[in-house]
Amino acid sequence: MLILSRKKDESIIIGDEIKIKVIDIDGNRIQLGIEAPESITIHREEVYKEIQEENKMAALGKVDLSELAANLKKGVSRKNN
Amino acid sequence: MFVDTSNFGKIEIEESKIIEFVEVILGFEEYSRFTIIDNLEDDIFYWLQSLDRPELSFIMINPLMFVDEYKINVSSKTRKMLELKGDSDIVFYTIVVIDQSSGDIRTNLRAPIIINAGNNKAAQIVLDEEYPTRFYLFKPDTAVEEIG
Repeated sequence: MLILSRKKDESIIIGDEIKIKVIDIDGNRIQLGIEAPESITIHREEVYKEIQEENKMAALGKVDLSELAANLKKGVSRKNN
Repeated sequence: MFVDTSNFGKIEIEESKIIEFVEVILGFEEYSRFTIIDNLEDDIFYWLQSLDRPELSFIMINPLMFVDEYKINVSSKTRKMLELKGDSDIVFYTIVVIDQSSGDIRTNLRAPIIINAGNNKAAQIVLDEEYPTRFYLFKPDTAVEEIG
């Protein structure tokens, strides 16, 4: 991993099109500003990983949907009680 | 066209039912062509079936059936990607997880599947709003008892 030191208001440039700027530093919290082409998707890593994991758990083989529907209806009616 | 599926065998779908993910389902980057099977007996689930891998499918729900306050802000980037012209073409679902080990049924409100009904382009988007990735729809009674 390349490690660079930056101060507030300083930036790094990745390739020709991506710029990441340190906007603010407050204790252990850093605000970054990112300029990138629209085709590039930017995620917070932990959110990205969480979603990837949920998706993987959601991908199915075979399931009995009628049993699921029955369970869900039970759950929903319990919520409404 | 005919499509092989693990859950429904060989099915025939019309070309107009092909959904093309322009922003893929995270973790399944190599699969972009799906169809939605919604002519099931229940009125809750929608089945998102891969056209290229028979055993790859997801169960989805309309989150508005389960959540009172759920609002999706579709960014201009997503609008451009899906070639959305207006809000009336927006259809969205959330993916359901059936946790075999705990028996939980939950849905991911943070990353809905959004589809332009006008051209069938789709994306899984990550909302800026802090909706839970795990919104529980059902917990088995045993789990409730354990807590109490």
